[in-house]
This record gives sequence, C-alpha cells and structure tokens, in this order.
Amino acid sequence: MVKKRLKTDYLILGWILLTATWNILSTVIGINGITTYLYIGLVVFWMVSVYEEIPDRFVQFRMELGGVMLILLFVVRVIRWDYAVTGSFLDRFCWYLYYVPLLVTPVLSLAITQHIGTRNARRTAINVLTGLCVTLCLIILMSDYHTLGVVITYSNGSAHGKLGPVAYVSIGWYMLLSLISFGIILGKCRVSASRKLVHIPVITQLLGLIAWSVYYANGGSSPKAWGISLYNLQEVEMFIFLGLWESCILIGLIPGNSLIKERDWIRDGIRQSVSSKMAELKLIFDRLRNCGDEKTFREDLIELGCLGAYVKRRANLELIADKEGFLNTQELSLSIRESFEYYELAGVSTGYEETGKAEVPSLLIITAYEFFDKIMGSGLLNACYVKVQVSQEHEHISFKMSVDVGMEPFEAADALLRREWVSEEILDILGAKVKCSESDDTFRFELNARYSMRKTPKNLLKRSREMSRVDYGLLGLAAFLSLEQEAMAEKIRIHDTLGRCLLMTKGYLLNSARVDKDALFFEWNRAMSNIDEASQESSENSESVDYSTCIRQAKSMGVDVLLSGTIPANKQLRSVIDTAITVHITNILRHTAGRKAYVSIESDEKSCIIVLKEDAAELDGAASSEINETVKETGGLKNLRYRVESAGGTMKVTPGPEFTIRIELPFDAD
Amino acid sequence: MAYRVVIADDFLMSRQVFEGAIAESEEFILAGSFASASEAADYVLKFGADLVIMDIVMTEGASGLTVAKTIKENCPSAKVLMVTSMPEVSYINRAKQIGADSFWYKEVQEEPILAVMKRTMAGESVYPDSTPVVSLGNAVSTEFTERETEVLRELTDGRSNKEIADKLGISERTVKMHITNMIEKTGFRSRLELAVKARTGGLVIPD
Repeated sequence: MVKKRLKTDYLILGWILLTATWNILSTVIGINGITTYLYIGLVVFWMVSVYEEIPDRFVQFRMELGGVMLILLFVVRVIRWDYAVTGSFLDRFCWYLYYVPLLVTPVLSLAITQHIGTRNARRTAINVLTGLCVTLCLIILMSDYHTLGVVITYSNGSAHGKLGPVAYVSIGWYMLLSLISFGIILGKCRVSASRKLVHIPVITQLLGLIAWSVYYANGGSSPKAWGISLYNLQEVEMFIFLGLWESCILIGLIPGNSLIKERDWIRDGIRQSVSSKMAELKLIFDRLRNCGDEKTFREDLIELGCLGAYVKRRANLELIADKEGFLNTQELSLSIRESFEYYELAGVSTGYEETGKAEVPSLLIITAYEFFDKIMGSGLLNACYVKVQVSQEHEHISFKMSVDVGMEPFEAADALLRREWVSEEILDILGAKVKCSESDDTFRFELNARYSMRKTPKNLLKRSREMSRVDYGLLGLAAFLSLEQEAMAEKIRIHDTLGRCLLMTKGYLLNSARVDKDALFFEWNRAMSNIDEASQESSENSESVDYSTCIRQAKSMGVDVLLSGTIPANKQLRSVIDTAITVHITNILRHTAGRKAYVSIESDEKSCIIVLKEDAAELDGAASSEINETVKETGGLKNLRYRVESAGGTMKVTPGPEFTIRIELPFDAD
Repeated sequence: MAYRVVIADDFLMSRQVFEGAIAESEEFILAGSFASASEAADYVLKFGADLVIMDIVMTEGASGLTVAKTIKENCPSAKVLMVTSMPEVSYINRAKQIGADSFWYKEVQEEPILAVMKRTMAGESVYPDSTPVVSLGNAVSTEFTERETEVLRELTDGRSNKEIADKLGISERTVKMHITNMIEKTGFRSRLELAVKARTGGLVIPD
C-alpha cells in the first residue's frame, strides 16, 4: 500500500463524511444545502491530488477529464434545481446533460485500464467506443426532437422523464463498460504484487454497485431513511469513479510519484556503485586526450578498457538481478571473462574455469565480482586464474571462488593478505569467508559461501533485493512493468554505450591501423556524457543508434557490412533495427573470424523482416560454448530480443556455421 | 553393408563435419550423433555400433577417454576413433592404454577423417607419430623433458611445489628446479603464468 497516498485518502473520506453529515443536517435542521458544492470541492481536491501524484500523462489526463465530468454532473444539478425554470429548455437540457458523464466516464475508465501495465495498448477499440459515446451523447442531447432519448413531461409542477431506448442503452453502457473495466483491473491485480490488496477496489465498487442498484430499485429516485434523502445518482457515479481510481492508486496498481521515485533509485544506485570507477574513467580519458606518445596512449587505453568493462558489467549485474534478488552464476563468468579480455591486452595471462551453475543471491555474485576487481587492482599482475565451483548438496548450495594471481603487489605481501577484501557485514550476511594465502610466489584469494536453499537467510535475500534497488513487493503491475522497462532501458543504454567503446578500444589495441582514433575518442566522449548525466533523459533518446555510424565503425575494424533493402522510416522500428545491426556486427567482431556481415531488410504492408547473417567463417573456441547447440542469449542478443518483443515483433536465432538472426517487426505495434 | 557410426562431440560444427564425411561415403552410415560422451555410450551399449568417433575433451560430463574405455570393455567389437583439437601430450598414450583403435587430431588433420575411418575399419591402428608442437612463450612443447611435462601437469592442477613433490616422489627442490627451467625456457614471469599458458594452450589439460 502506498503510505503517502493514505493521507490523501483519509482527507477524501473525511470530506465525504462531512458532506454526508451536512446533507443530513440540511434536511433535519433545514439549513440551506451546500452539499453539492462540497462534492464539487471534493472532486476538485481529488483532481489536484491526481495532478500532483500521477506522472503518466495518459492516465492523468483521463482521470482529470473524469473529474470534469463529475463536476459537470453536480453543476448541472445546481443549475437545474436552483436556477432553471421548471418546464424551460434549460431545465430539460440539464436533464439530458446528466447522461453525458454517464456515457463518458466509463470510456475513460476503460482507456485507463487498457493503458496500465501494457506495452501495447489497444487504442483502436477505445477510439471506436469514443465515437459511439459521442454519437449517443448527441442523440440524448437532442432528445427534444425525438423520443429515442428522454421524454420529459410536466404535471403538477414537477417533471417526469420517460426513458427512451437510447437512454436505456446509456444506462446499460455505463454498467457494462464499468464492469468490464473493473474486471480488467481485477485481472491485473491478480498477477501483480497488488493482489493482496485487491479487496480495496472490490469493496469500493461493490458499495457503488449496491448504491446504484438501490437507487434504481427505488424507482430511480433518492433512497430515504427516516425521511432523510441519503444520496442521489450523482453521488453514486462520483463514488464509483473516484473509488475505483483512488483505490488503484492506493494499492500501487497505478504508479504515483511516490512509487516512481523508485525509478531514480535504479539510476542512482547504479551510479553510486560505479561512481568511483566513473571518476577514474574520466581521469584516464582526460589523460588520453592530452597524451603525446603512442606507448603511453596504449597503456592508458588498456586501463580505460579494463575499467570500462568493469563498469559495464557491474551495472549489468545490479540491473539483471531478478525481483527476488537472484542471479545465475553464469553472469559472474561472463563478467570476469569480459574483464579478462582487456587484462589480456595488458599482458596478463588469464584463465577461467567453472564447475556447476546455480541461481544464487545477487549479493553473492556482485560481491564476488567486486572481490575479483579489487584483487586485479592490487598489484602489477602477470597472470590470473579464476576458478568458480558451485555445487548443490542436498538442500545446500556451496559457492567457492578462488583467484590465483602472479603479481608484484603494490603493498607488502603480509599487508595484502591481511586486508579486508570484503566487509564483515557483507560476509556475515552471506555466511561467507575470505581466505588469503601466498605460496610459491602465487597469491591465492578465496571466497567461500554456503547457505541453505530451503531457507535462504532473510537478511541475505533482503540485501540482494536491495541490490536491485527496488522493492518490487510495493509495486503494482503497472509500476513493476514501468520499472522493469526502465531498468532494461538503462541496462541496454549502459551495455550498448560502453559496449561500443570497448569494442573499438579492443579493435584499436589489436590493430591500430583499423580503427580511427578520432572515432574512438568520439565514442568514449559520448559514453562519458551519456552515463554520467544526472538528467531524467528518457530511454528513447539514448536508444537511437545511428546504424550508419555502426557500419562505419565496423568497416574501420575490417568488417564489411552488406546492406540490402531500405530501413523503414518508422522511428521506433529504425531504433530496433539499429540495435540489431549493432549487435550483429559486435558478435562478428567478438566471436568469429568473419569479415562480412549481411543485412537484408524486406517490407510489406504489415511488417518488416530483417535477416542478419555472417559469412561462414569458422567460429573460434571461445564462441563454441555459446553457439554449440542452442544459442545462449546473453548481453547484446538478450537486449535485442527484449527490444524486438517490446516492439511487438518476433526474433529467431539459428546457430551453426551461418549464424542467422531473423527479426519480424509489425508496422502497427506501439 | 555399411558400417554404423556413432559420433560423440560437444562441438556442433565438429559433429557436422563428421556427419558430412559419413554422408559422402557409401561405406558408412550414421547411427547416432551425440553432444555428450555418456549419451553416446548409452546408445552404443544398447544398440551397438561398428565405429565410435569420440571427442576427448567434453565441456560437461565424463571425458571421452573415460567413456571410450567403458565402450571397449563392454562392447569390444566396436572400434573407437579418438579425436581431439587439444595438443595435450598425454592423450595419445592414454588412448593407447585404454585400447582406442585410432587417434586423429582435428586441427592438424594429417590425413582426412574419412581415410582414417576406412583404415580403422580395415583393421589398422592409426595414430599420429607425435603430438602437435605447441608454442609456449619462447619455447615449444618438444623442448620440455618428460619430467618437466609431468611437473607442468601437476602445476596446472593448482598444486603447490610440496604437493607436486609428494605426488611425483621427488624433492621440493627438484620441483622448483624444473619449474625454474621451464620459466627460463618460456620467458614467462611466474609459475602461475606458466601454468595458465600451458592450460589455455591445451598443452596439459587436467582431467
């Protein structure tokens, strides 16, 4: 439950009680009723709170519009009872106007329910309903000219309305669409963390439904108790609309600003964890810019690569931890192997071995990677061998990482061995031990952890979830998906931005003739500003990779990109295609000896099909474990699949000598 | 009647190469193609085979040598052709010890695989004359003595000098001497670098 929203809700409830009380008093004591004005005030108050709370413009606008409709209801009531002359056109028109909010508010509700928690909202249906709604409104408003709407007759100074077919349709419309909206909300609650609080919207809607039913069972007039008029239909409509959306905000199904602040935690959390490294990156980059000789330039570039690889992977690990705070040990393997690629360029002989795999708390993986990174920075290394052993014994998981290094340490050996590599607090939470030893000129650092799978320590899970920087337990479906999208977008941004830089860096270090130095600087400059900025830049801005830049970069590294077909003009599709081409070229450069990348794009009316192939060069050994049987989609391929599926498309990867990626993107997906 | 061939190799491309060779010849027919040695052994023991092409190094599960030994013991009529891309010095001897009929280096390819298969089925035992020469820093693998290679093997297993000495029945001082010699020959900076390079280069691969 959103605790901050509770305060607003107490005010709303208090206001309703006050108004209801005044309503009774005005009847009993005979005070001039200001009930209607109090209700108008309540709706205005609610609209202001929605404006402040709901950042999603789509939802906010429709809620505000719903509020306007409710105000219209009460204003019309005031005009009709206090100002219009009985039997006049105004009197009749006000009666007709009652039906406008009746028709409009359920369409607004349905539009909001369609929007929350989905990536591809179905706007067509809503547009059709909107058209029908407008038509029905016009028919009702023109009831003076026909008998389809409401036929008003007057006798004994009072008005009587006879409902025509369209009026009945309007009432049915309201009930049906409201029920559908409510059903959709219940469905979304059920699959989200909000399911435990689903009783709140259920109660509000049930009460509204009962009130509505009693009103019509009473012959369409206000029910009374002890001669006191309890409520009118306008109050019921207000209660149903406000009750539904307020309860959805309260239980977190619709993300409000208090929840959306969590999104900043993702960026801030990641930036905090890598901020010291970012500062180092900047220092080295500044040194690079002013570097004179090629030898020093290369040394600094290698250092930049090593640090950049760490930042990229470190950020990744935090983001990809699932909502329960678990990560596969394979992610540690990928992170260390990527770091090793750059240490190899620095002349460090590296080797990695792993036995066993398991899903373990993300705190363990991140701690292990940080542990590894600290060791790598503790001296002048000539060799490093990492061995990770994961085993499951009955209900226990054992994790052991040993890092053997041959090096000249920056400090005395005994000081190095006594250093606190992992804080006591983290060791305590992990139930882990660190052991450092030195023998035969080789330093060995071990991290051992063992815990029960059946009952993973609560504080370990808690901290692991905190590593994800979001307590998903508080979120409703929409907020969860919103943050999930945000997290993926951030991960893609860091991965792609740094990934391109690192690839060019490696290309330059392997063969400086192939990579343009200016282009290399440009990429790092862009990476520095992209990752470090504190702005609330949306993910769309950072997703636009210019494919022609990718092609130029590829060419500068010796890969010819043969492109056939035309990239569609649709901005979102272009963005996905750009990413596909980038991932394809990156894979070729990283894993194969291929020198040609084939990209074919064909479009018809409905979709765009992109096929990416490489020339049938033999894969190197490092790639064989990835592309032996099925392709294990990690890093760029995983990101690409996410982008493709988010755009409503499909992706198929075919391993083998002619590694192929086939993507189909529909034109009409959002 | 064509010989039934079972392939066991965790590398897809290798399997496809072998499958292609079999498809080209009327003498052979593919009975099964497996990504793990254990699966291949289960098949052979159940359904039999005339020839088993067995990769030595498997990323998961039992090694090809262990499984090949099981096949030779339980299905002696099946001929076993060991294949590998690793220049590990001990593989040839170990293959001979377990009774493998032939041996073929994927990278070197002294002769085409189909020729080796035909010769094997004709009753020959086809073995390379020597292991491929592997560069290790400034040295090549043939520059190491047998004892040095033994020490190197233990070193790549992460053993300390004392543990190596105990295992090989020599003094710790002798172990240090061998390691120092190898470091001098290769130009590496530390014993760990020597071990890492020997391992990643495939010269010695721990079981």
